[in-house]
Amino acid sequence: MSISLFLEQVLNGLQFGVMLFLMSAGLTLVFGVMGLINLAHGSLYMIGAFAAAAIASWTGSFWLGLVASLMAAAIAGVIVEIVIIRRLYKRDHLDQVLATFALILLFSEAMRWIFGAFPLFLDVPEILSGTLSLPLGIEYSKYRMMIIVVGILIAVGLFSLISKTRLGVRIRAGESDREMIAALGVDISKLYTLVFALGAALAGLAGAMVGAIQSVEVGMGEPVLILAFVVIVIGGIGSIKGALVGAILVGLTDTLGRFLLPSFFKIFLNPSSATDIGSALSSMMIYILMAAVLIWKPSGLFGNNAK
Amino acid sequence: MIKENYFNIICIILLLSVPFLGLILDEPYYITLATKVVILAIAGAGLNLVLGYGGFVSFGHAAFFGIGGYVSGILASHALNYYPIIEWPFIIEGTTQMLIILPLAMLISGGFAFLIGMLCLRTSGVYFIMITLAFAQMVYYFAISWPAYGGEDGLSVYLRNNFPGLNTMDGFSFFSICFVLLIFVLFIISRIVNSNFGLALQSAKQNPERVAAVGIEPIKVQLIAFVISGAITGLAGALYTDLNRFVSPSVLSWHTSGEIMVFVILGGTARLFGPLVGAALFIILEQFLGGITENWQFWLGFILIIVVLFAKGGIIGMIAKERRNG
Amino acid sequence: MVSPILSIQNLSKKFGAVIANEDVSIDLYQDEIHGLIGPNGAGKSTLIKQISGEIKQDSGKIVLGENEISNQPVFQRAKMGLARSFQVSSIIPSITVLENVILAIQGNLGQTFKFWKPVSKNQELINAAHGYLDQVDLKLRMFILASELSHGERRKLEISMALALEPKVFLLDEPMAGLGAAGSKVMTKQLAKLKSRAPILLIEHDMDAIFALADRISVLVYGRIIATGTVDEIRSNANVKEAYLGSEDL
Repeated sequence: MSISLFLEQVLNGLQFGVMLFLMSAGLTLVFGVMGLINLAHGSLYMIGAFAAAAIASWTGSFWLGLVASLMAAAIAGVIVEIVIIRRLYKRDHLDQVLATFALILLFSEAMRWIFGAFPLFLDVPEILSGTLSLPLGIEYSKYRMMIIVVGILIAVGLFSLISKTRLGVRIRAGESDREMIAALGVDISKLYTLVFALGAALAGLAGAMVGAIQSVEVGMGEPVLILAFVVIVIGGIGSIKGALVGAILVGLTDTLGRFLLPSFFKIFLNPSSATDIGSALSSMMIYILMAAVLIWKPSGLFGNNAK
Repeated sequence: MIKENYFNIICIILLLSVPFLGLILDEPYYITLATKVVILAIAGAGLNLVLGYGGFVSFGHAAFFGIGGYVSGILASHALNYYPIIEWPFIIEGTTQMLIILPLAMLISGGFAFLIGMLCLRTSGVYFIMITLAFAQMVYYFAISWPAYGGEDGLSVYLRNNFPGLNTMDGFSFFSICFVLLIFVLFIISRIVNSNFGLALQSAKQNPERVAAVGIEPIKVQLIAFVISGAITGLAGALYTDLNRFVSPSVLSWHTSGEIMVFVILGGTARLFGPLVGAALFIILEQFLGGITENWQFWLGFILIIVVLFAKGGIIGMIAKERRNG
Repeated sequence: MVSPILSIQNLSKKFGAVIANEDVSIDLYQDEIHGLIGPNGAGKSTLIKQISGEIKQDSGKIVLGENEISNQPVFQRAKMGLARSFQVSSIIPSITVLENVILAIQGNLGQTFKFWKPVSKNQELINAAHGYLDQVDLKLRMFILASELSHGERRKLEISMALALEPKVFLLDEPMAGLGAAGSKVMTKQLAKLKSRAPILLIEHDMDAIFALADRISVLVYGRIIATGTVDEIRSNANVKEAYLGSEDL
């Protein structure tokens, strides 16, 4: 195993982590501000990917596709928030889980209705195809590098949005005291819709960017949704900082686990059982990580209030 | 409460009439459907004990359902290929005897519930939902990537397991076994819920601090309930393998956890017959909508949302108004 | 010398830099009501939570009878004879009044892990519960849901549940709160009766009640006990007067 191969895997882990952050940010905001568990967040990711694939193949422009993914997911978010989600804020977690589980069925079937059962493909734009030469002899995909950069930019943007702008002040106030913010004269239901749309747009963007690496298909949001839940639970539900740390942690653990564990077991086992055990264990790694974090800190790394 | 009891009796009669109808009309598919409802109702009854009566939302009951299913599948497959499960330190042979398989499935899924519950019950609320989900995913990915028992492709069992004196390959006989087990499980749960333990369990749902202040350890009560719940759901999983003569990682997926939860909530949480009503309705919807449109899941989702938003307390909650536990 | 039933020894607790309790010692003897008073924010709730086990002390120890209980969890302390009532009535709303008391009895007798016999057929437990409900005049209301009780009745139910624990010590956190004049009078009588069953550590805002009931009083100010003594001693204590100056009329 060479050092450059290892570093390439680290970059892959980072790219995966950054993508998970885009998913988790909205999820954790929605929980922190509105107290809602949204299982349908993965559907918004899927909608983003489908919108990007459809618009990109229609216009021939990947970039228009990306814009479309943001818009489509945000619009879907606004509609679903106004029609259904806002009725769930005051319900218990059980109702929220059930209703948003039902939303997944609804969205998945709707996508199948519109786009058919076959996967769509989204091509990486010309300018980002090929690889980038990095120090230490690493050749790394330009497109994946872009995902990392975009993710970091969005993370920075999100942090300054929350810490520096008036909207951020309101979001933070909404997290700590809902009645107070209503008393301040902020239109709380508009704020909620806005937060939900923001989270939806980020999920949609994540879906579109991943859509160019994998195929765009119904059900693609579900594995990612569960990973995003793992991320926000590790980070502490409601904390953006926690989501970032959790996402990078999960991304690296998963990628490096798959890369390193089989070779690790080869040291003292025969190759075929080493591969078996290594791959079985590495696919469980992040869940083991999550269980370990929760046993150590029952409300996550940066969480303070377990609701 | 009398009203709810009448309703329960009607449910039993309706349920029993389906396989008889199947016999009369010579439609074995009806019997299979009724059996499926019964098995899923057992799984839901297990979950109802913790979710309904105990008030902690497990999003990981697929783990116990699947573990029960794999116990049955693994034992049977070894019996059918005459290859012992382990040879050292002593030989354990496979078996196709339900009277051994079913208790063993309950024991092993109960054991897993003990381990998982011990870790998960340290948390509560949304963290509990998520950590139970995580454990179920762990088992799911293990099953997918462990090649010995079929990995992703699953494990086929060519014959149903045996039950003394019955031909289990006959649909009606197998239905009868499942039906008796369902009634037995519901009877046990009704005893538990009305016992001193049940009182403590339902009290801990409302006010764990108060329960601790009268000298009862809430977590111990909840852990025991979780183990019983896991064992019951595991029993259902073992029967489900027998029904399909097949088990695959999909029974461990989080969709299964979600669906078991749907049965409970659709029927009415903390209602003895809630899971049965919910499972029956779910299967009826699946069949009925599936007959009309390919996109039946869309309409299923639609109906579920309507139920959550407007029919709090599930179907039984709408029909039998009186309710002891809020 | 008679040894105390409950002995709180040098209890200290800090939250970050904030001192909640410092070096608090209180002894509670057989047949006494020991009042604990102090202005708001004096650390009374933190103290009672340390005694009941919800908060762990930083240093010091708590001894109940012969046993040190400082490191025991809440349920274990309750089992060992510490019956607590809450500042905001804490009952199980979704079950009947009778079942609330039965819950306490089964906690005391260690009968929780019985899975088969229905509670409603357990005549022994039901009869015992009748007795405890009778003592607080709540027997007529025993079949209604606890959530339907009035505020005063909830207080009574809590006392009844405390009785059902057959405790060594009652730990009562503002049992008069929100009761009104008539309710307080009834509760005062109730507490005087309770004293014969086990000594009471009584936290109370109602000064009239506490001066009427308590045998001895400790005054907690800024987390420290500034005085302990009989009612008359406390009334004439200069430090206490100063601590309450302007806010309460002693």
